[in-house]
Amino acid sequence: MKRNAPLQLLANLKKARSGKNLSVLDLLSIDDLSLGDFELLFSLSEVFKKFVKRGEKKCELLKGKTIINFFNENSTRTRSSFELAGKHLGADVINISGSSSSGRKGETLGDSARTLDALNSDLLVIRDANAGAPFQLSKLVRTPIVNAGDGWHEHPTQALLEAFTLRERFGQRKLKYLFVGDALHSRVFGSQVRLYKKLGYEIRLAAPETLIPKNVEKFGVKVFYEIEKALEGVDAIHAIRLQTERAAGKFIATGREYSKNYCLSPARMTLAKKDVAVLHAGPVIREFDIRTEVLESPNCLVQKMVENSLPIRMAVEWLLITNSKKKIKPW
Amino acid sequence: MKTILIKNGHVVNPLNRRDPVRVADVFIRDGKISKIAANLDRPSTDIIVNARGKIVSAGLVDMHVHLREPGREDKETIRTATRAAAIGGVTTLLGMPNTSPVIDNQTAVKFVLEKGRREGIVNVLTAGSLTKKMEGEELAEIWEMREAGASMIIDDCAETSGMGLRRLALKYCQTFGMPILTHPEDADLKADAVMNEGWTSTRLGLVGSPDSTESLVIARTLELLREVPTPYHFTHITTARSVKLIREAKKEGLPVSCDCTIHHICLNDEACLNYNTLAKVDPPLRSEDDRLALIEGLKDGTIDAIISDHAPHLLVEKFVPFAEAASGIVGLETLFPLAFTELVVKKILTLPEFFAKLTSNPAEIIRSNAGQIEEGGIADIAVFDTQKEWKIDKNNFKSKGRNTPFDGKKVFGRAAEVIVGGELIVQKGELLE
Repeated sequence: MKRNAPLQLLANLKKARSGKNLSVLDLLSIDDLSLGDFELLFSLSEVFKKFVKRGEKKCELLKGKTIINFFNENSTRTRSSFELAGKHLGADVINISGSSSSGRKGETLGDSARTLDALNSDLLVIRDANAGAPFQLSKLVRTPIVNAGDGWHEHPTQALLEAFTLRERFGQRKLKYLFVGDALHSRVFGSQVRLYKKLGYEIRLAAPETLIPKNVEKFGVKVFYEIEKALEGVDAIHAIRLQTERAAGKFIATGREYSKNYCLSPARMTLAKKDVAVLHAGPVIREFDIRTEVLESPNCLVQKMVENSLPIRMAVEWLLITNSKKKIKPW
Repeated sequence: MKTILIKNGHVVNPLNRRDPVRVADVFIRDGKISKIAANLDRPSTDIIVNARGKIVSAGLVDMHVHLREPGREDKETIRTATRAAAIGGVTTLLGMPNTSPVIDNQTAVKFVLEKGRREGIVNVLTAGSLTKKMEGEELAEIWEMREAGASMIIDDCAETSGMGLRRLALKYCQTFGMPILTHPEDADLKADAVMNEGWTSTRLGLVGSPDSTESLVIARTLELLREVPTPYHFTHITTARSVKLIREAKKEGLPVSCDCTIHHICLNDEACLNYNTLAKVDPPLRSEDDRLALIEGLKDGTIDAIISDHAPHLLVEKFVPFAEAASGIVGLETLFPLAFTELVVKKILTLPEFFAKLTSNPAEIIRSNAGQIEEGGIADIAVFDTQKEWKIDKNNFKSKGRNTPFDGKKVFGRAAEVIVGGELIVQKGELLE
């Protein structure tokens, strides 16, 4: 029974995919994805999740394929999750980390990407401190690109894995969803807000004005300064980490004062629905973003999100590498 | 020197209030405009230019050009910039002093002017810096620069808040009758911004600069000018709020003038979508409401002049992530066609209004006798063919810079003939060399 797991996986995947492809050749922004793409990704992720959970994680779906994680900014969890996903699928995965400034060694980011392209890689997973870098590189290379976080802009797979987690919990209901904290510097917010708008969620944001992006209401977001007022009736709360590494520190007076106003504390949670889901993209700063009591309560889905990062990224990698449409060689 | 007769063109002279547009011939002798009249008969003329159906005007005056020489000759030189200017119908240009070294003393001023005379093919003027090395700390030798021929002084203190020095500097320039020009942008408010702050910057995840970055400097400067009323010019204004402040200041009678760039007239910040680094420029492209306010300001006379803010860069400097890319657009060769297409073809300005903003107004601000088409005046003249639509092709630029967001755009208006000091330098749209 156990020996047949990969075979059964293949059968289940075929059924779930039913010959479909993503509508895009690169995964750069949630903007580019359709509702059909979300469906495809979520149904494949379900299959991959069952497979991974059975314990025999390795299959040969991407045997002989090369995935390059091209990370120009520090990352542990995202990089290892992409790496593991690739390895579970049987691909060869290598990690390349550049300096955060493309010009530091004198080579442009574009030239670095073209070098990796010329090595016949099958997928480039790109993280960069500059918003738009993966988008700009996608015009220069033949290899499909996954945006694994670009500046303050987007981090689409992180949004997808959270949406997948919420779907496991709530099904396909249109949720009332609350962001708390630093939306300004958060690329995870950038992807999530686009995704939830497409899914028809009612979106709120509770944050001090200094951390709210200009014209954020055009994303369909209702802004609150007082978290207590925003909590009423929401199904899910996402605490956004204060991006102190992006100099967000000066946008608030002190962490102490911030947490007094915006930390998800047990007292605040009594204002929300009993079964409200608590979410965070990690790394969590305890007692600052979320109080330990809340983080360790059954409402908290943070560990589930980490678990779901693998099947989502397996689905993304498999779909992009086996896309029947190919990019045209740009040079 | 050869004589030139320009036949049957529509001569546009915004300074001629009674008859600003008329079909006439223009006869040029000894570097001067000898006669403007209908049906001139000059049988022994050396060169006859048939301008039937074309516009004949004073050569354009572009009061904001980054020549890059001295210091960045890899980006542009006085030789190449003046050739780009000639092709664009610009016969007088004002170089900016942020070169390397900075134009902050008489020797540097003389270098640029001398190089312009020797290697340039249009009139090259230069501005000088208000403070030494543009550091905003010590006054530069403004009188000596004026004596050496500098046309204007750039108030480089406006970006910082050192109001004490600025007030003294205004008085110092007032003493020597030097007009001042500033790039109104508060360095502290701008901080790390790489574009306009708004819905577009939020969508792109890029840092934006608010409108107050600009209007704050203008408001602050206007307060100083109430005490020190010396001629002051705000260059490349971009926001609705700035237009309003300057409109009110003019009503109040303060000695202020302003200009805007051709790219802020044509584009809004959505040109930056898809991380288009070619649309990255300083000051940044603003919202559509701001763009419309600029057009309103051009119509009602608040905005006196249109500039190219010609800013050549190496391609590699645009071939990088948006935040790291150099700011600037090359513009000498596209100034006229873009402006004509946007403002005259769309019937926003009349021909005299339009040409005033490209010739006589900027000339008056920089106190030059260029920008006029009058009998007895210097023969700096451009003949524009405005009938044929054509496509901008950056690969044909005479400038070393190729950084333009307008490549491939279809436009009307092109300099057919250009005359500088009585010499024909462009004929049938080609440089005569």
